[in-house]
Amino acid sequence: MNGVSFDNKYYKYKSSIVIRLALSIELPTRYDASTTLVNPNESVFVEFSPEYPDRAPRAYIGRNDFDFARTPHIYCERDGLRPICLFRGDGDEWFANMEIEDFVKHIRSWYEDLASGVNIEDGGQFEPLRLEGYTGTLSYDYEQLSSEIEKAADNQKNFLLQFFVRWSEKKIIRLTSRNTWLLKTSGFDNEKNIQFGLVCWGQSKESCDLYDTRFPRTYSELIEYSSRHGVELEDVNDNDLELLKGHASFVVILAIKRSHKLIGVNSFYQFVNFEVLFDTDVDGKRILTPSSKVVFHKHESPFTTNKAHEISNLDPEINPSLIIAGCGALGSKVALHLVRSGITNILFSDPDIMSEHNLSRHALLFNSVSHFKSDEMKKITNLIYYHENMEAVSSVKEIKKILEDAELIKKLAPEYILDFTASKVVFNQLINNKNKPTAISAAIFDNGKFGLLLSEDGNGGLRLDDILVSFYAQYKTDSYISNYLMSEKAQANEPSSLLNVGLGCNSETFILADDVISLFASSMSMTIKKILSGNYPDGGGWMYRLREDGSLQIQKIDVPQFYCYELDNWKVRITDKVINDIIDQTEASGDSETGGYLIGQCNLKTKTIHVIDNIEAPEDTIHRDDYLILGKSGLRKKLSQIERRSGSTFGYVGEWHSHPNGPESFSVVDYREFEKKAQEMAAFGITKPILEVLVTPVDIKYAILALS
Amino acid sequence: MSKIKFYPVDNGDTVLIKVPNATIQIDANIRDNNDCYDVMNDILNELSTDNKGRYHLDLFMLTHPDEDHCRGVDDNYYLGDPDNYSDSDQENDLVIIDELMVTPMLFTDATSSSAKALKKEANRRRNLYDDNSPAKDKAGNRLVIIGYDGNKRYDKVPSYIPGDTIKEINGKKLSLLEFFVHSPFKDSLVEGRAEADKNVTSIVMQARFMYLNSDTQPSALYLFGGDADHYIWEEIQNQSNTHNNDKKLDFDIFMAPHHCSWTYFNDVPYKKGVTDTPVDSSKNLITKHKTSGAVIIASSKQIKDDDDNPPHYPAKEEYIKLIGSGKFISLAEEPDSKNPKPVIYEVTSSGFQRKDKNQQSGSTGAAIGSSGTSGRKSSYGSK
Repeated sequence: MNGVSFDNKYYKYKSSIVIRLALSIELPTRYDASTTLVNPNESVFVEFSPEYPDRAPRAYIGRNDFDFARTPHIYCERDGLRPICLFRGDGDEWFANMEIEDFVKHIRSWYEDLASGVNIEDGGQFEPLRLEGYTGTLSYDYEQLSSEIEKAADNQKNFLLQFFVRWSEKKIIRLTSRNTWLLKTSGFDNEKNIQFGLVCWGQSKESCDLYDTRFPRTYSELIEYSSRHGVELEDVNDNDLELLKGHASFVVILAIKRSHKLIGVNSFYQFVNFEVLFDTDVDGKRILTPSSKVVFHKHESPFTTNKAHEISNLDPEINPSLIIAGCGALGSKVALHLVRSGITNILFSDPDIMSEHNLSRHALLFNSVSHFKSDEMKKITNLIYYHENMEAVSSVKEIKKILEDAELIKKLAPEYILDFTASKVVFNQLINNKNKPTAISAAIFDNGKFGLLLSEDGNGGLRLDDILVSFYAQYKTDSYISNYLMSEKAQANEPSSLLNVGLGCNSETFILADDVISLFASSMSMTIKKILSGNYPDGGGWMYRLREDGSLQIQKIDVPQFYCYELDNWKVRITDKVINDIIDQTEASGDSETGGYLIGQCNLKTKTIHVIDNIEAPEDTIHRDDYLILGKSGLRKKLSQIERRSGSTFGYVGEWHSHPNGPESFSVVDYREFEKKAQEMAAFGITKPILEVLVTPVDIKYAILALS
Repeated sequence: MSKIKFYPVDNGDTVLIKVPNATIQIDANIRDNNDCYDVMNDILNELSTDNKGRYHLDLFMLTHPDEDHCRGVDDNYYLGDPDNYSDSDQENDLVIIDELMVTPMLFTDATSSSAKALKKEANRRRNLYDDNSPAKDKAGNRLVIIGYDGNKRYDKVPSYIPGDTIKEINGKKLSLLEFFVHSPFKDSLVEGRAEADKNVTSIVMQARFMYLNSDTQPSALYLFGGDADHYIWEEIQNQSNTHNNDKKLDFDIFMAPHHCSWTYFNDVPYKKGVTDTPVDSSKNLITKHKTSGAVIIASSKQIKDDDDNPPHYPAKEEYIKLIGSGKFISLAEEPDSKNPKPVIYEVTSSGFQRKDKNQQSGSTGAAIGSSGTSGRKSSYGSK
């Protein structure tokens, strides 16, 4: 191998074999040779354990005059050897796909990167000290602590901040000097578990870039170590020391100021955590002596909403206030996806209690059984983000009541309501409530064969039922949807396919496995996050179709534009296609009146008529300049086909006709016809209204014939 | 991380520069020959594709229209209206050149088939500017001219002249790279000398790489000049001196002009006792402007101790004298002359760092092939 020489000597180290290699190093074009950090030729020891090649070799610095203090990615000394930290992650896994030559090249890259500063600075950021051999873990928000120090350093000369440590968990819970930040823990009431600690930093503006991993083992060594890094620990005053003596030990967080921000955090400070154990004097009193023992601890950041956003690759600005209606299997899973992405301003709503059988596929676990699902979802959300002052809330009230609670709505200012109730009642309530937040509704259909997610546009333009109707309207072109609608109708008269899981009438549940629901939940959560991120300002619908192989096919529902009218307390919503059709037919008919039948759906609960299609005037229609007698030839067959293939989702909802020569409103003849129809409706007990549409040269007029 | 890749293409140049938001190719000598390194495959691996799967190169810079600087462009790059890019073009992996950068010489002196094809393409693009067509700003239609020959025919096309700094290409501001234009001079382009020797019209530039967005000074410099001869380099030094642009001649990497021929050092033919002494200006350029660990790269055939020119053995010896032992790199001999591969440098805060020697291959994947994806370099440190 070019640039590598081996002296053919093998050394024994414990159960391993060690060799020494001389590597020729390519120095960068502007390498400052006076630093002597890296030589053009470097020697390394390479250790092969008995588990080689399953275990990657280890590399050690091969010369004693190496400048360890300025070199990152080196572990603490072991038996006089200094191991090189070569891998981010599992080196054995990396080596599984590599040859020994690659390993040697990797060592050489390590030296070359060190020479060019890439090891130390990554994109202008500072590689932090590698901490190994710790005895415990301290949990605190790195950037928050750093920010506190920046503020304190600017405003006061005092060089330390005190904090409480909840010792059983080793989490810093409060800085006391300003009481400015608080790590939330549940049950912060046992003072005995709380003790003081110190955060210490230097007054000098000078930075220190030493990589000194020879950690102190006594208090005097700690003072010396701190001093080397620009922090004078001797300045701790007696009053502070007395506070610290409340416990057998105290924590010192040393804040070493680096010349660049550290990789991974927005801070110039590298925090190194020590715990100093008091000695006792002859009287058993705690005293701090130069030989007091010191151990060090690693740091772990608490999980925060910011971190959750970062890990989830979600813009941190995306944290809208939500109402989640329905915390069942689907709702709980989607909700937790959102919560884990850092979206936490949530009111969880569900009147149900977690039952034993819910354990088969609910996001909550056994300790939530017998508790309200909404309360448990709130609890779990707050626990995930124990560190932050955020409070998810819950309610067992029905969603209509929540939306009517003006005080609550004012407080929460919800931007979206996510409906996972799979309840037609809630669906209708959401449609009827004009002052609600933007509604998103999601549910699984057809025993888990497909799911739908519908999102309003937030401006009152596109409604949930517009999207659902548009989806069903695809029955004409999509046999899958037609088959579903037909089977739904057929099953309406069949015995229930629901599974009885208890004695009560409400103890039924779908037969649907946890993994299937999770599949839908994760996909729907991704769509919802895009909606919350503003990717679909016009709303829309998505169908998630489960394939035989267990994958999901996601397709956006083609939603046409709806022309919307309100009259007599009814909402009429007609697709642009129907409007264009009837205008075209009117124009094609010239001076003769024409007309046709309107196909759609009528919802008495929302008092809405959706028109999605039309049937042209049958052959036996009589067209005249001043009147029209709409024929019925072939009509029955066509209507039957529509009703059959749409599973009775769609059918006749009204008629239209034209006045090419005026008048520009319904005529006397028209009203006479309406009266006749009304009598027929009463006679036949037809409760649904009939829509009448008139096309004039300048306008389109509507009338609703309904039994009062 | 920004990088610069020098391809082994015998006597010719092919250099690829990658910065965070752009990929730039300087010259091409892509031979249809199974025995040499598969340059085009390597370039395709470096390029990104658009949402239709079509390869795009942000900028192709032609230093001058000699065949050894544009060979293979007509076979491997898409020349024509990008709207007419066909399925068969895509099947053939033809690369769309978003922006084409040429000198006026291309329009007047294209002799090889590749140069003629590029000339035709440049004329097509120029017409869009002349017509002020909105399509001129579209990727695949952009054209930039370096140098001014006094001919107003090109005045509607965006152009740069010596002394200018290029900070934007393909409609994008370059965050970590800029080019300082030294040449071609107007005199070289307009005088009859240009037709006789296209080399004197070569683009000469200093590519200035920043390591960080916040950097105000470059951390690595690449000085290149196609086939420019010692007269041009002397004039460049004079002009730089006059205009306080001496620093614009500094380099971490210097591409030995004209494939390491003697023309950089003196007139040719090389005659003992007549033209065998390097002119001072050429020596001064290197000694005065090299950074501490600077290297000189020769893009040529293997440099043997014979009378060939280029590459020219005495030229190589002069370079080594001026730059130092171990700092002269012959692309035909890296890592060895039997199987030369690209030489790669990455930009660091300490200049260019050579990277090709530590390319890891991995133990799985195809047995044959120039690159593998099974084994990837690991970064350091624990997670």
